[in-house]
Amino acid sequence: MHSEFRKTRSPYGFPFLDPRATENLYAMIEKIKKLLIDENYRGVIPGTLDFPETFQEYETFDAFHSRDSHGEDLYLRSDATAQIIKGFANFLEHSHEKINEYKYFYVLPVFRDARKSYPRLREIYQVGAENIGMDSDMAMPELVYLADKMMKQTIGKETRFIIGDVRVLHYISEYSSSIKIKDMILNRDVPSLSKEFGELGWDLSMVNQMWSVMLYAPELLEWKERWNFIKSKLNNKLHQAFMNEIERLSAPVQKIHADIEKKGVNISWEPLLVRNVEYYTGFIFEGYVEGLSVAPLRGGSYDNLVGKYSRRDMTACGFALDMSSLILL
Amino acid sequence: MKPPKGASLRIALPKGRMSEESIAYLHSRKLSSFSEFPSNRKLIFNDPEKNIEYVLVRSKDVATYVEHGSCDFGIIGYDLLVEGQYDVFIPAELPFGKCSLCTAYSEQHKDWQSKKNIRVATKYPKLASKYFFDQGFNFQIIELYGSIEIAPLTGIADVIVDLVSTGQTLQENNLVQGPKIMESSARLILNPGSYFLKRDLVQSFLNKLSIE
Repeated sequence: MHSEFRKTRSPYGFPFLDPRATENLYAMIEKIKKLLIDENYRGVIPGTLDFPETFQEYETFDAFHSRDSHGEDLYLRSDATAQIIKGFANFLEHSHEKINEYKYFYVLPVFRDARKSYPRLREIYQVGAENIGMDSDMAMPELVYLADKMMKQTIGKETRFIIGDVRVLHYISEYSSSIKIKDMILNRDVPSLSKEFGELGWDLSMVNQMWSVMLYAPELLEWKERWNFIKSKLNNKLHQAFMNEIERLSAPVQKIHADIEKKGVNISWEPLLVRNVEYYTGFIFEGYVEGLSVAPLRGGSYDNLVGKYSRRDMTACGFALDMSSLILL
Repeated sequence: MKPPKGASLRIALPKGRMSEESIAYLHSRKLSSFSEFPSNRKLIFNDPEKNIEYVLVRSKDVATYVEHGSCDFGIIGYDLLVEGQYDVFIPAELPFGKCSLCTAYSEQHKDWQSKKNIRVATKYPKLASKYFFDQGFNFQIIELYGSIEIAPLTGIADVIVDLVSTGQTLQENNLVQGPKIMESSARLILNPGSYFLKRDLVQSFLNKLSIE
């Protein structure tokens, strides 16, 4: 029975020889490609295998890898952004063309864990857009607007976006120095974060309120009111300074949020948004759609990535849309 | 952000004592119209007045229902949450379900700490492995699904790792409580997608719980 199953199925990937699902996928991709080409994005296809240092490691990273004839270890890509930027940096180094701005898109599978509690490698078919050379503050509203349009046109359903700034997380991680803090924030674990900060001398009831307002934030006006109330109840000047710094770091993304909202995108600002991938440097956003419990679209800015591979520093931002989850809708 | 039209909340509760404590607590916060579940074999209860549906599942399955988005909220012990490593949000600690994850042994195995290799019976293989590894033991985990207390008495293990609330079960089975691994209590968990897609409903629920 088991061997029969192995003869007729393939593990990990898209249900091949499912013509209807394939047609749906192609139709969605064609719509997206047209939209991206109209917005002056150019298609690129990086290799499926690459050197491991290109990607961030994950639990099942070594599930599949091979060695080429030069003895180099090659792994299945877990992410397309790092590869595209690496390719762009190479192009930049060898091109005589003076490039200031560039827009790329790709349609390809990436291979990574499905979820934390089920670390199994999965083939995820995704479409992505990379915008290199444009200032994040300028590019972000357009990028989120494009992502929203893309999702709406593809699936014809209402979308909801959230936006935050990863610099808030960086500041909190430096402040706390606990290695568990990122996981606690990823899980929006108010009790554990309150306990952690309680050990740093914070007032337990106030810190519990602070984390609740940070991680389960109401609308901006109410947020400000409650944030200031909590701050006024703190006796420790250093703790007040911590809250002031969070407020200062949140100001740019609040402005971007307002700019995006003006474009008609259903978006809310999140004081604290976290991403598993390390290369994000500023604004990050996620797009949700009714019927899916995880965000099929994720993006943000990664201003240090071009500089990692080339002698020239250039800002960059982009997003990726998981088509494999959209076809489930 | 407006929730989808006609959207309501679905909450997963663990069958047994914690479901009783949970519904009584939610009732006290005016989030449930009833303070206890009817004594029948139904596993889904609707509360039309509050627009909430309750689903009674095995305690280990609560986080799975929430993680996959089948339920918006869930109530689960912190021990199971840490053991399972789920992609869920944890907005609050709730004031019930307090207990400790402890080691325990029988009198005949009281020298287990001096053994070169120990056998550990537990329902919590990940937490137990981490604890014994950190303590520098050579150990073998024997995963059991219930009646852990009889493991040392039947000779299948030298020591057990299990939840202890009053210690009465350990005493009745002639076991001695050893070092504590972690404290646990009930946690409210939330599906990340529900938080972003049903924001107003979720915020209102959290407000009533006085979590914010």
